[in-house]
Amino acid sequence: MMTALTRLIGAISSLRLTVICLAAAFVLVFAGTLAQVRLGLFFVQEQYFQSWFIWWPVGGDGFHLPVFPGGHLIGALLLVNLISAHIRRFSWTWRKFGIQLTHFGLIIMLAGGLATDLFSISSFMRLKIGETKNFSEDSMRMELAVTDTTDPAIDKITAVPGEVLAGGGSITDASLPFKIVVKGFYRNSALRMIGQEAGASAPASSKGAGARISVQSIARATKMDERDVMSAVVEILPNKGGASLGTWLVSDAMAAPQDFDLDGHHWSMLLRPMRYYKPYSMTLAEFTHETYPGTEIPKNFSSKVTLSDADTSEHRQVAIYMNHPLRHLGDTYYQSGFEPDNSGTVLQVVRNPGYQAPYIACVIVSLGLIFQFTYHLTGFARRSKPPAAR
Amino acid sequence: MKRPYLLLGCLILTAAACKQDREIKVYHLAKETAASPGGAPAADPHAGMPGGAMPGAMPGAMPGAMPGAMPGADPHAGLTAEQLATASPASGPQFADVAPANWKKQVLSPMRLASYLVAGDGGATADISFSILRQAPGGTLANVNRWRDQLGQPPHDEAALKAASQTIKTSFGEGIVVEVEGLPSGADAAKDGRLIGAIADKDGSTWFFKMRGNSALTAAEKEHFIQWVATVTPAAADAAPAAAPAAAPAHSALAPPAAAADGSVTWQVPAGWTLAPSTSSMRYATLSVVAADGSKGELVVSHFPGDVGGDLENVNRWRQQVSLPPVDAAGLVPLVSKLTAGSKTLSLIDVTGPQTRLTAGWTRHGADTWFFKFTGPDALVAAEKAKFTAFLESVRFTNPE
Repeated sequence: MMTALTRLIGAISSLRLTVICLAAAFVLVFAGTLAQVRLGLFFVQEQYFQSWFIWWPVGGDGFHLPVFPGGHLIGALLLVNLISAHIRRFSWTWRKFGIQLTHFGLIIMLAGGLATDLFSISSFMRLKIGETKNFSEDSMRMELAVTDTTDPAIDKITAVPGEVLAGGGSITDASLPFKIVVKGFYRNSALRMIGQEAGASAPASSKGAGARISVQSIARATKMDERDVMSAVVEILPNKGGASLGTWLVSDAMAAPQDFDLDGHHWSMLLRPMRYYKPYSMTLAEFTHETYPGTEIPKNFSSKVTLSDADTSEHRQVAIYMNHPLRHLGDTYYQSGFEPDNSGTVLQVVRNPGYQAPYIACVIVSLGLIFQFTYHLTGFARRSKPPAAR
Repeated sequence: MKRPYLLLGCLILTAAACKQDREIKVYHLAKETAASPGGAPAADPHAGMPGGAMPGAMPGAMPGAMPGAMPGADPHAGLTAEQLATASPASGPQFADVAPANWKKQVLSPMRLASYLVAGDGGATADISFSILRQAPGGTLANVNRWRDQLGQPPHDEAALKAASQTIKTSFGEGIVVEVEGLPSGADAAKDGRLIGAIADKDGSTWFFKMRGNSALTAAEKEHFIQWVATVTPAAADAAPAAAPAAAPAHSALAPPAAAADGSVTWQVPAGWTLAPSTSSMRYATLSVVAADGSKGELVVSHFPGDVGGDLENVNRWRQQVSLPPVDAAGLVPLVSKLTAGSKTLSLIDVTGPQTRLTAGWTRHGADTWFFKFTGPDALVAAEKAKFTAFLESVRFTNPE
């Protein structure tokens, strides 16, 4: 038993595993780069680098086989390998101190990279001049906002992530007096008006706008300037029993919510980009867009926003521009783009708990290398002095 | 030696499995205002399909991308414009409160609904505020821990919070009071060192009352603070009409809002009157009328739980709004008349100040009191009074109490 464990620990901390992981990482980066041509950046990021395995669909969309380790698995193995080797071979001597410090820095970098991949959230806040918002949106991820609009002042929203819809089946939540049964899910879809467009035949749903719309599944969007149009057909079944209220089509392509009534309450459903609400608000006071003279090439664009946080009593104006982000309560706002008519700004909002890891890691690695180099240099200098000089 | 590796592996896998994009979330938010494209009736399937939703068509410019690089219809162009979810003096509900005499009013920042400063000996001060978040992220524990963090204190868990907090009665229900003591590094001890905060939930919103300042002064003002929290109540009707916002509210369709929390209400819009954008989420509807000379009158419909302080308090607030002195209970009686609207009896008042005339009707329906307040210059209100009376007589609550 002990022998097997010793072997396992030996294998985990072996240099061989390091080499295998690094080789696998090379292959993954190469294959992922090639795959971007066919699948697009976002899809490859998700399927190759932000996954534990790369899955191959056997004979279509049904059964999937893992065919290669994904970025998370390779990174995690490297991390475990490095930590175990570090601990196993650790010995407190000045001779090895620099190497150990360097490896410790690498561990922080790997752990930070993994934490960033797993926990960072990137979204966008689009603001028109004068507009105030307290949420950002991620248009690459969708959510079905099911809203009880009965109260004249307050909307009670239950946000069901698109990935939950993708899982199909019956969706329940304590806030909903009904089940949402996913009757159809389309990662990317085309909607056509029945009777007005060719190829539009069967209505997508029995109720709402979908009764006059046909929905078809189409290939995933792969170009950088495209994204999927997610759609779903959902059935509403009251929790108390009784007949189905019908089916509704919800789609990223439909701006109007789909409505229904149940037990005196009015509900609406809207498939929209996933929202991240903040405990503070941002107002765009001013937007500046400079171009190079005689061209439309952007030279500089900056946003002057007013940050209001009741909790910290903050109410201040901040300028956000290239290499000058705003950081507040763990969110970092970068100047990212602007509306085509310069009527507003687009800020990238990144929440990354591990954002300091690369800085800390680089400092530690640098200190380790400097120490190791200096230690060996002074030793070498001492040894190389001629005997007469000693 | 082996266990740390296994544990680490398990932790990584668990972290991956818990990725938060599969979590169903529930929010309570102030209603969004309607932007014109999204205001199209849902029954019209064309309304929600900008660009015809062509197959493979790019549905919208990816946020963050360079403008011009990705032309195309944006499917979200028709979504309703978002209303500020946190209440602010400009757009949020109005409140009444009674502060101790030694508290000085401060200029309101956009997030504050009330703001005071109290001064003590030796330059000591404490800052007092009241604000509302329509959707307070993280719940009570997270908010208390944010306060604790501000004063450099370690976070509480649920058990510690329960042990350290006390309940407080407010005008809208029970809340909790917590006290945090600590001086953040670099802070001025004359202005910081203790925070007393109260948190209460109401209708999906979280109400925050906070006093933060010099430790001794804040501790001395604690009783005042707790008494003040109990006085904060929603005002029954809004203050003087403010400029209409650019975006129309959710109720701006040319028909009364369809439903209220405790029942639907309908009415006949008088000829020449128009539904106007409401300047506050606490307004159920706003109607306006413009006279030939350009003067403007405004009718605000609002409703609040309970009796909102009672008739005397409401009437005196309205009298104050038109610069008239308050009356006592005996003085109130001759001012109030009655009017019948279907099965309802409305109380009526008509007060005229130096510049503004205010006439209002109110009645109870279910758990709420409904207010219909018409304000404007005396000449305009006098000319439109008959129409306002007809409007009140046309009010019907279609849902049973």
